[in-house]
Amino acid sequence: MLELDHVTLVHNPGTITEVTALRDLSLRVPRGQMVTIVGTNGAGKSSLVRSVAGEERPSRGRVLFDGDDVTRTPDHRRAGRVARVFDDPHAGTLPELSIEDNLALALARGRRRRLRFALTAARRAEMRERLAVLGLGLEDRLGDPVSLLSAGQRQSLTLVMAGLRDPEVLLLDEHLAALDPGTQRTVLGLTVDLVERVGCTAIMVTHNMEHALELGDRLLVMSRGRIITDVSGAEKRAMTVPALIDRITGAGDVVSDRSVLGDGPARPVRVPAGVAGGPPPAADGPREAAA
Amino acid sequence: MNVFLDTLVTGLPLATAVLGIYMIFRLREDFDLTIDASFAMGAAVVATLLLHGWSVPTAMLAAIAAAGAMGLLTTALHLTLGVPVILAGLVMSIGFFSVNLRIMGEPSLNVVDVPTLFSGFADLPAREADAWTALVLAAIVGVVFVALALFLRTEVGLALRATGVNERMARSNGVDDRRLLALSLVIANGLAGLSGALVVQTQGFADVSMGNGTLIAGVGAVLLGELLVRPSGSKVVRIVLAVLLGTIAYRLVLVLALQLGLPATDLQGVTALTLVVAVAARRWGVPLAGRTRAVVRRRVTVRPNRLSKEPV
Repeated sequence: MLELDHVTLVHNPGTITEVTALRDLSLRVPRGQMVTIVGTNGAGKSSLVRSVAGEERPSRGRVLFDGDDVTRTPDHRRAGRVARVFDDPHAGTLPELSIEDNLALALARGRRRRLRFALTAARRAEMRERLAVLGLGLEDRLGDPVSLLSAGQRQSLTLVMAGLRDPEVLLLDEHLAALDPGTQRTVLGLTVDLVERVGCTAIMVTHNMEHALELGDRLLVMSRGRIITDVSGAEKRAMTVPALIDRITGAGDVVSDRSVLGDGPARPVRVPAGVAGGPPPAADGPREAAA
Repeated sequence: MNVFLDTLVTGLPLATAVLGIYMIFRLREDFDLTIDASFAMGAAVVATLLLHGWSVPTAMLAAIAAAGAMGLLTTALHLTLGVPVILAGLVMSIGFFSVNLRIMGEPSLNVVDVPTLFSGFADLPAREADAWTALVLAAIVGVVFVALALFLRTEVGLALRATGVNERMARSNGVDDRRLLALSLVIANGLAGLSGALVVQTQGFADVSMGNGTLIAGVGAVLLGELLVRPSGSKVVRIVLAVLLGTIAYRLVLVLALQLGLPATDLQGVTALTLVVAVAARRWGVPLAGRTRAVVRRRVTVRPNRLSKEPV
């Protein structure tokens, strides 16, 4: 169980640039559930991911993994339980280092690093095996620097790295955003395989409404640091892209003066038909919706 | 032959300092000016202790430890005050000039009359003594370089290389970047201290300002080495080779300058010129050995080419 308990995250508190990224947000994700999150830029999606990863420490509230309070645990000490794939394909790898060095670094995630060789014959064999699954031929290029790989290959590699040591929580922050539609499909398939194989909790932030709807067990819509829609099961399956976009765009107009979204899984916001039928905001617009 | 021996005897002691500089300059893409002072610290400590009758190995270990501890202090300044490493190092190098002077008691100490690593060769003819000195130095440098290459290949060493490239990614894989920064700076400054301790014993005296310019000389050596051997983050053997060959090449330039009759006071200018030439050769020169580095290629393709503008 991954739990966010009344988490508020304020950037630059007390200054002119103060921004509230998360407002009294509570969320409980049972083990093994896959959650997709959508919302406009600045809705707090990435802040939520960073709070779970430990890269940001909430101003108020708690973060719990299986009941353990990890609120004050820094990201590198949560790494044994949390694996991440970043939105930027460059962010999740060490471009100047070889593929095998990248994998070796991930192999020690969450373990104490010792003065023993990072690369051994046995480890290389395991790496080849894991890479062969991708079908990209990377298993024969262990010594190549990652900078030679394409964005799609890098994100695939990062997924393999994330799955090397089975994580409890997998965080995917728009990890398909930089990829072309074809590659998105491939990497998405790898993502689903990984989540199924490891059986971990997964949180996937996306701007692609179709991905948000078709993947996972549960869908959250975020706006202004809050969860404004939380659907799962049949309700999620019944959701369509236009309805979802209505929820997102509607939130900007309607939700600000409502306080429907206190604690616990929020109730869906009811958006009157016709009020929010316009095009989505440009930043999240046609590119993602059409992809 | 004379030139070659001179180069080895004056160059090999610097090799460990250059290795330390590489660890920060290339593996972390940063500059640690502490190096200037920790080099002098190694020299000051070893000279003072040898004059106090300490044995050579213990005096050298103490010199390395003292210099390494300075790296810890630089880390503390950087992390607690939030100043960049380069500024923290600058403060350290200024402040420790006074500390080194305190340790030595006077600006210059002579160790010709006390036992050193090389005092056994004092009675040999000059040429022969130089050869033995070079051999002992080569053995010490060899052991240090092999040890560091092996270390960089361990899980900890890999983590150290990773934090320099992508801190965020390293943290998300469970690497405590602050501890590894401390470790990098301790090793780098310890290596500089060892270098200072070796130089004192080869030249027979310690001077409080002998560390000045070590960092920039080391950067020059690294740039030269990278022209000869193209190292990258994962090619650990190439890293140590580049450092070693770069140091020797850099020293060779200086020794040749002296042979050409330039006064020693001109060496700073020669150092600067070497640096400029090395950078220029990297930028425009045909790679002397190996493939063009991916980094270079990327930079060239990204730069817009004004000449190829097509008429509309």
